[in-house]
Amino acid sequence: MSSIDAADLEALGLRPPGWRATDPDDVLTLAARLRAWWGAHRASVALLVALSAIVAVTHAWGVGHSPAMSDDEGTYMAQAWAVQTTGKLAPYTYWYDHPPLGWLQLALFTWLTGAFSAAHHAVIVGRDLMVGAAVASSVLLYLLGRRLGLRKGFAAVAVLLFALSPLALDYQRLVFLDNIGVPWVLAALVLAASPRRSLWAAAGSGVCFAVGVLSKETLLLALPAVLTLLWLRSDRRTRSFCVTGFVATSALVVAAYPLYALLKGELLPGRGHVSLWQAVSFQLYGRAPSGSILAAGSNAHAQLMTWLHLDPWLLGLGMVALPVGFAVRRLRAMAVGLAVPVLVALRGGYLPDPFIIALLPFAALLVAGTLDAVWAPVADRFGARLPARARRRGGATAVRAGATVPVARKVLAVALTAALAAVLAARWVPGDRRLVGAGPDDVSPTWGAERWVEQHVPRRDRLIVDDSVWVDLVEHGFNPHLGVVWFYKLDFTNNLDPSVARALPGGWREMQYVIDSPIIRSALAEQPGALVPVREAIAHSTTVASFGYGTGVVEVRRITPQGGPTAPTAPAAPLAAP
Amino acid sequence: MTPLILTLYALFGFLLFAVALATLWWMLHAWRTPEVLAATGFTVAADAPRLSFSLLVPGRHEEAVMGATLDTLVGSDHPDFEVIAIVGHDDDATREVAEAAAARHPDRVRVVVDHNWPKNKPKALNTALPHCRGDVVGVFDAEDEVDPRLLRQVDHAFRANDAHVVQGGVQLMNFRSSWYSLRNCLEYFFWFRSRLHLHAQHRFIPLGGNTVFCRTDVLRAVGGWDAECLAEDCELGVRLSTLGARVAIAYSPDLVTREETPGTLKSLFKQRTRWNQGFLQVLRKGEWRQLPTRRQRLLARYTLSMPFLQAFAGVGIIVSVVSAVFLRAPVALALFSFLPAVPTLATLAFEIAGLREFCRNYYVRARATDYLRLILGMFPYQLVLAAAAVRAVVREALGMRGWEKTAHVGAHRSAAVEAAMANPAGVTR
Repeated sequence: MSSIDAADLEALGLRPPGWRATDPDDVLTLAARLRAWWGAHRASVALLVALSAIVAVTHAWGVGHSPAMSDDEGTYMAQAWAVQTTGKLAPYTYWYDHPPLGWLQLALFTWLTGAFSAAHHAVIVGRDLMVGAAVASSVLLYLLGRRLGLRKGFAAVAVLLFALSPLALDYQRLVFLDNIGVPWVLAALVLAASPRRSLWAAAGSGVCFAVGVLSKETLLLALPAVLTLLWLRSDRRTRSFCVTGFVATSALVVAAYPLYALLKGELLPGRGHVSLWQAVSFQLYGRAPSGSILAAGSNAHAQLMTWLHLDPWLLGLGMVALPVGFAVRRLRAMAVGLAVPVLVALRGGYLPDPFIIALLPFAALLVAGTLDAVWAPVADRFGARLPARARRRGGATAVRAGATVPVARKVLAVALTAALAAVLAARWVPGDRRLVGAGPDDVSPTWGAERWVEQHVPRRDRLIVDDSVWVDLVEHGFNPHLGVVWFYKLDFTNNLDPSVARALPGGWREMQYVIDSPIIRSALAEQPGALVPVREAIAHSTTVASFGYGTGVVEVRRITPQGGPTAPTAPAAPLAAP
Repeated sequence: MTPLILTLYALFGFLLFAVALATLWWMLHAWRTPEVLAATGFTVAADAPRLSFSLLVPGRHEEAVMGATLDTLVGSDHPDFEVIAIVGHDDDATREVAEAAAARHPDRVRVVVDHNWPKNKPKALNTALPHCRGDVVGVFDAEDEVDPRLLRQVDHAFRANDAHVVQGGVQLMNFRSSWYSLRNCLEYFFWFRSRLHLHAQHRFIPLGGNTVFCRTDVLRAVGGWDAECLAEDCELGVRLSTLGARVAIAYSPDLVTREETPGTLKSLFKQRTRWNQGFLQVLRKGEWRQLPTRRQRLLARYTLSMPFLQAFAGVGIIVSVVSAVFLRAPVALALFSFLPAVPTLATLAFEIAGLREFCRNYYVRARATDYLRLILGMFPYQLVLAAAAVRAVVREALGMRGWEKTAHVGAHRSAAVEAAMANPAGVTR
């Protein structure tokens, strides 16, 4: 086209071939964008930094002492250890107890930080990551609150409720898969509430939600909340594409899990292998139901009391705010998020201990959102129901209402917030103080027992342990393959993995030691009649070292199958309790 | 498997994933946000028309449809336009129909006879260009069903956007006539409703073959259409893009030009081969390298090679999954081989949403069987596209020398001898 005259082209509003323009990106550089962003969000960033600092300090302070260890913490750390060191999903046969993405993230963390070593306690390493997860959840909760139209102060209230309740502080410190999954679900909610209502945010929300569900399957109960939010916040014209984006991405990512089982030939039950099908039906139907949450004496009721003993306020206030949440359009998804798991818990069935974790962000946002709704009728861009009603009542009334009512409302909201702060401070400070180190040290008896075993027990001996000490003992040279054995693996009637029972036909008689801990004792108490080999081992053993006192005592016991100590490796003198 | 093979395999999988994802992302451009959807939608032209139009209708052995099309065009509610039917000197039947139409509407319709040989559409259009009296040249195919209100809308789009080019919407309508027609219709829907707007926004646009309008002075200044390109419409769009032309899209479900899918699978296959080869020619011609920004050049490179990437991705995904499963690859690798299937299945989900939207736009009720056909048709249709892409590459490779020559002399100059060597059959409609 060299014959074209450049002057002709310019007369037509065109440019000669080969001209170069600047990309929009060259003009609006990253630095310029960041400066603009900073200008718009300075106040929120400062507030978030302060909130994050509070959350980080309260969660990290004393995390190595309290609360007492849960068996699951050790299980997940052992599985993360297996991922990192052996490339397998579990130290024993992975039997699809949970989707593995939760401890894959744990393993990523321990791999990046090089945290597994003889110098650290594995469970504490995991708890360090939980502090990070709590900070992440808090930041996301703040963002979600803002996107739901809460004023900055009330979004901050939500974060403080969420992070400072002793119930939350206690459970958020534990290495539970729920704590890993909740930030992902919150991220899904934040994206579902995208102010631009963009398709990619909906698809991203689906990915985040799927990661959350693959971290902990019970988070699937948050699906109605995410979908409600997405539906309410999306535009009528693009809604079908946004919902399609969410459903397609979340379903496709979640599908990786059954696909994995299928590729391993473990999707459906068959002879000689575990299966996803069996595991799911075990979790849904096989586990002993915990009874009605309302019937005194049932396991579910005891579980509820455990939660409420730590703090009845956050959950209680959340339930009080529930009707408001349903009435106020912008809070409706949060109300769904709290109501659905509550209904599921009321329905009966097995009620896991960490179940409560996923309820807390919804409860916190409902309470803070209710205060915000008291402050002023909602006027967010998307769900402006109240102003519409005000408009119908007549412009003059609306204007007058706009001029006078908010002052009274603001006073009321501030008064309510102040009263809440006063009540909660009085109730929460003792609980939080106990958790940050003023209370008894629930963890160190276990460390004492570990140290004693490391110093006195030959590495070829076999030990029955709870999961919380497993990685530490393995890191100190005990054989991960049948050298240290999770206590419930001995009872082949209670789990779906026959590998241990098959490898050790003699059962507990082939073991030399049992570390009797609160974890084992409470498992025995909860499952009367089960775990017979563990009961036998304890019955046929003598204490050689003891740590702690009262219900928290941890004993190293030498097993004597024929009765009477025959231990060639018995120490000269048992150590006294520290 | 060796680490090298594993790495190559992983790279291949990731490439397929990226291609499928990018294609999906661009397919969904219009639905990114409600604002984008509104902006790409339809604005009513309320003001009085001010431009004049010359509408070119090339026809070859299309005596069956030509007369009706010319009559419809004459029925436009725009005050100032002429219709120029272009017929071949060897095609008496079409010529008679066209001249009859000219006799019916002597003030609107003229007939131009094209004496070029061998014949193709760009040559026909170039022949008629000197005869155009309007401010704007529009191109239609002989079988097009054009809405009489379209011209006013285009008139408005030119002035509202200070545009050099306006692309109107085209939609295949007979989505229930065969197993592939549904997918063919949806392709058009996503292209004109969504993807084209992305191109207009980035000011790089491969124009369509009809319902496309260009200012006459601009068309003359750039020397008209490339007579040797199989995708002369796309080529013109690319060439105008390099000159910084402003392109507006006038899409409204009410005003689209209605067409039918190719009658047989074979003709669909041939049509797709021609398009693919045309895109490849435009890619090799390299005008797009003159685009002013890096982003545009990237978009151009990707778009022009898209038929191939898309087709190979469709087949590659199946191949990688099947090989991973049957070669008993490690579970992690087998799992990874499904990665490219994720955007592919997501595309299917969005096609379902798209079919719903399509049916709403055109006031049809979607049936369960339509959705079923959409889902079941995915893989076979992908196979047809892949086969057409392969055929296009082979044909282009065989005709390579001839093409190299025409590229040097400047494609707008018509050279019958070179064309005879370069031009495969099946060019004209």
